[in-house]
Amino acid sequence: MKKIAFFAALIMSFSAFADSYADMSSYKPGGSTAWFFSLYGESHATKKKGEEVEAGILAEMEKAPLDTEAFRLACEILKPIAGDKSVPVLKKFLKDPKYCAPACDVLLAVNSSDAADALESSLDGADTGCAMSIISTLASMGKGGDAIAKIAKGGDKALAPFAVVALGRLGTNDACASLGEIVEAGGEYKAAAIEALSNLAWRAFLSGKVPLAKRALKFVPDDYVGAVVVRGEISKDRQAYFDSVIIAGGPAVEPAARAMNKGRDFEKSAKLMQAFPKLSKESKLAAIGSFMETGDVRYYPVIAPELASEDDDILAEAIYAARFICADKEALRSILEIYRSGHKPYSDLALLVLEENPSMQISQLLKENDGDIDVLKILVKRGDIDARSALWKKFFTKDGWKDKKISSAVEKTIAYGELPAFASNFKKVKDEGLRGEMMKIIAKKLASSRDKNFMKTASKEIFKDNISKEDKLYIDTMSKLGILEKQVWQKGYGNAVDDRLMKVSTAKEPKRDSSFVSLFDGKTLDGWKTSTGNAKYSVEDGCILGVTDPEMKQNSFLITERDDFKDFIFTCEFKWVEHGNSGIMFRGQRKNNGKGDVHGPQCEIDNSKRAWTAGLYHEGGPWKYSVSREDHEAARNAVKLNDWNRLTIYCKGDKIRTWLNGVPVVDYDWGEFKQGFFGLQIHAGKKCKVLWRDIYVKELK
Amino acid sequence: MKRRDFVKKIAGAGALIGFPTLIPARALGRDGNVAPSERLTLGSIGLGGMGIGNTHTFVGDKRVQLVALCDVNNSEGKQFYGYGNNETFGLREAAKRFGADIPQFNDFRELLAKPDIDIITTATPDHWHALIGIACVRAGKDVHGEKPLTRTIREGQALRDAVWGSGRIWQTGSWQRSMEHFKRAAEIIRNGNLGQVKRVVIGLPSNFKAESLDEVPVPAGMDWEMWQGPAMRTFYNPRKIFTRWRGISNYCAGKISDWGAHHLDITHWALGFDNWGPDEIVPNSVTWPTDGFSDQPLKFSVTLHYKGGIEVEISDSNRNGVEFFGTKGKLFVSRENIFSDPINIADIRIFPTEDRLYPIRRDNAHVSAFIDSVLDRRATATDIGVAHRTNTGCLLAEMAYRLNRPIKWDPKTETVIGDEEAARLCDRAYHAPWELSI
Repeated sequence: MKKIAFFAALIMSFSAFADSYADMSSYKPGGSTAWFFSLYGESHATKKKGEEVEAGILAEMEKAPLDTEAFRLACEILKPIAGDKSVPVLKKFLKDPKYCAPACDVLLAVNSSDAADALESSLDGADTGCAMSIISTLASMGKGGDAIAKIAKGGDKALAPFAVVALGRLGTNDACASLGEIVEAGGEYKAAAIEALSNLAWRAFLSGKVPLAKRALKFVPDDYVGAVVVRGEISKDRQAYFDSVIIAGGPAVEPAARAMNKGRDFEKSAKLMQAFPKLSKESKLAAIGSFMETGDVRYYPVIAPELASEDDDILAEAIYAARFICADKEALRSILEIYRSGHKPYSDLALLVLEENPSMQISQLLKENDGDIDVLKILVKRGDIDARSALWKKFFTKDGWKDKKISSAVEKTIAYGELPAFASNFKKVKDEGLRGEMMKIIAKKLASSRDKNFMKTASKEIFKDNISKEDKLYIDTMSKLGILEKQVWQKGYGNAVDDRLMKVSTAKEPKRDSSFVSLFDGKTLDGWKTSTGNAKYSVEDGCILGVTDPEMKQNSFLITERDDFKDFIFTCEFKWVEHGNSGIMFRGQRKNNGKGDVHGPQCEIDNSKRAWTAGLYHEGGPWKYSVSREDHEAARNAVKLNDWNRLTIYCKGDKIRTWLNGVPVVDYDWGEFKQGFFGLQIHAGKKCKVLWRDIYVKELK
Repeated sequence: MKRRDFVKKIAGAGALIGFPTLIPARALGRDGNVAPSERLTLGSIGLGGMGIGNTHTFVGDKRVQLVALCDVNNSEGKQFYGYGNNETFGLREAAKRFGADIPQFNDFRELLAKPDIDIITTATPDHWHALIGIACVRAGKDVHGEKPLTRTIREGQALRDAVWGSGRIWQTGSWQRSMEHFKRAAEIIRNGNLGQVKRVVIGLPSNFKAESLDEVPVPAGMDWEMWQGPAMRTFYNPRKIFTRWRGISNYCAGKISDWGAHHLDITHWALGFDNWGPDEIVPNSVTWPTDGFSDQPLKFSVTLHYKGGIEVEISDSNRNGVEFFGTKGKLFVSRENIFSDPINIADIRIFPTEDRLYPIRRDNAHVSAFIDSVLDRRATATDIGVAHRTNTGCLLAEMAYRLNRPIKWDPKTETVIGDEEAARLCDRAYHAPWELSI
């Protein structure tokens, strides 16, 4: 409560603002840091405010010992705004290990001569930790060289090596001289001084002070690996220097080669290229790497003989270099061979070379072999338009899409941008299977983005003018992707088919005449057999009676022994004795899954409220045609729950039609099942008894 | 480092007519079984969530053998409390996961003194990155270092100079550059398929919400002094060690550098600013918390101006990812998605003869790409210079919103122009006994 009141006051007047510093000293870890955020925002808003805040914080720092976290946060505010006024106050904290580092941080920011004096004069009598913070702060400021040099030459075991490093970072002429003296004196810190000098030389070179770098390197032994880069960079001819190091071999090869990976000049590489065949392994690898980095194909002839190298690493490097600098057809042919060998670990590497090598030689080489689907794939990846057409052509041949290799190649190499062109083939393609396959590819590609908005825009562009919005495939795919909302007039049935995917049949029911053949003799079940499930089928009073077994988990079917009914008109009558779900299989088939599950088209017999009798269901799949559109009203009303009903099914080619008591219901194209048996279903469930009679079929030629 | 022998002869390689029967070293990553004596030896420094995760990835590459673990946390029990997560991190957990017989260290300097270590992976809080990175390359190790590169710009320069001078391989953990679709986005833009890019919008996650952290006694086995290292001294709370240190400016610049190291990195890649930086950094808005442990803004928006009039807006209010607006269209790329308007731009084919970027691994594995680079002695995709420029951009954005005013920057000399106060924020004093050596 106190704090909220304080905030309100803070906004209103400066007197309250001053109070905020009092809050600072009451800071406890885990307590409020509100003061920090208020001051933080205020202090950086205007310069004037900044000065006020500085004065306030300094007063607070002097008043009471602050918690370390509060002190750190206070220094964070001070850091950008502190002036020389802060120096005397902060100086008081330099000998306290708890506060020294944050105080140093602010003084480093102030970086005035006052600040440097404050730091230097605090070195005397400071403990080791504080002295270290002070030394490293002075070095960062580029000040206090004499004091640091004195400590570096002194005997303090902790501080002397610390000061040696600081001298290296200080990077002045004097620091360089002091370090030189330490090296020449040959004492305990000689190695540290050599490292500091090579650091100093490197930094000096990077900031354009080459003479200083040279002076520092005088004290560094010639074979000191840590200085090889800077030595090369400042030498008159850097490439000559680095190449001579590479040729000489040894531990300096790596830094030299890495440095030389930038700015190599072909004309100046003659010496290294000449020496190449006789180089040590280490040097050879470094040289190949260095050549590779240039992207200059003129180097590859030197490397090419290494394709027969006895050494595994050199060979590997030589192959890999082909990705960047090889335009040699024979070498590339060998790499194609590796790819074709299919040995997984290396065919991958070879593939990388084949796909990425910029040389047109590769394209030519591949085109000599472009009958191969794998080669086509590489060519497509390389952006070859002809190869893409060839791949599509293969796909669009009669059974090309059934070849999984071609199909997946098309799927993998086709791009979003090409989908509209790909989809434009819809108009030309009659084969439903191929159309389905094309749709699958497009759907997969679209679904690879989780972004629905994107899918919407993309699908619009892909299908624009290519496919009718009423096309079953289009609606089906789009609703599966969730792009199109499902439209169902009859509410409340999740498995109903989208209204747009169904059209109401207007065909007249064919009359049963003498050309029809009976499938049931009225006395026996000759010509019929049971399949899955354990419902009881018997002959009662000239009818077939099916009765469910309440325990059964699987649907039962009484199926015809003949299973090659192809095109036909089928008709029968049924009546419920006890209401339950049932249906008539046609073109039915049994799965090859060990259990012989029945699947295929089913003409529904439905006693429930939704009244989908004569609808088309895919046993073992989803609904194909539910009787759920508004204009299905007549069909839904046609069912008689307590009397005989007549079902008629017409099947020719892909066309499927049904009638219920003379009312046309299904008009659907479905080519998946070409032929099969008829089956009388008793659905698994507690209750169900159904009678069938007058079962006739007329086969169509 | 002595280059190791990774190659294994295969039986029945006669299929390779006219070609020596050998497996290229680079290809051996996944299926090849490499004898332990021939593997690259790995030391892992920093074994928190990220460190243990990275180490898992490293040992998943058969070319690597883990030989040393190092963490300042050697305490017992669950420390990762308060997040509904029972995982424990630190040295003991790492030893449990990777093998108790692997030598363990509390001090990274002892680990680096071991001459038989080839490569190092480090995943420490940001305030340690520069010191440990420099020590590693000085000790002759190749390093996979976590992003963001360093806590201050000055540290970044020091680390970069040290790596450049050492001839060591460096890879930063900005793994988005190893992902095919980010590379694709960069290549599309580099080859002018978006026309001239004028504006880029980057979305990052927000910083931690303000919450209080109490002072808690340091448990036995936890070297809190070493954890703080060069940072300013303050009280201990276990939550600081696990993730919440990202909310404290003492250790980290916050999400701006945490995620900027990914998304600004991709922006630089695509626009060809790998060795460049912004000219002016303008804070658009910043909201500070009023209480709690975190001193990072609750909301922020900063615009970085690059040469050619390119504006890069970074904010935690934007959708996570990078969106490029060019004269020919726009392209959005995130970890999940790449898409463009018009649609075909995102899938345009880049010919081998166009401006192609460093080829990335087919399996998009960033860590394995580092192993490849170590073996081939080639620069990595997230090399030190690149990472330093990315990190600099992020830290300049942090400085701009902290000062709440525009900053002018000279990317050539890497100095702040005409703002002495802003220049102060580029460097930082260290707590003893730590100092930069370069």
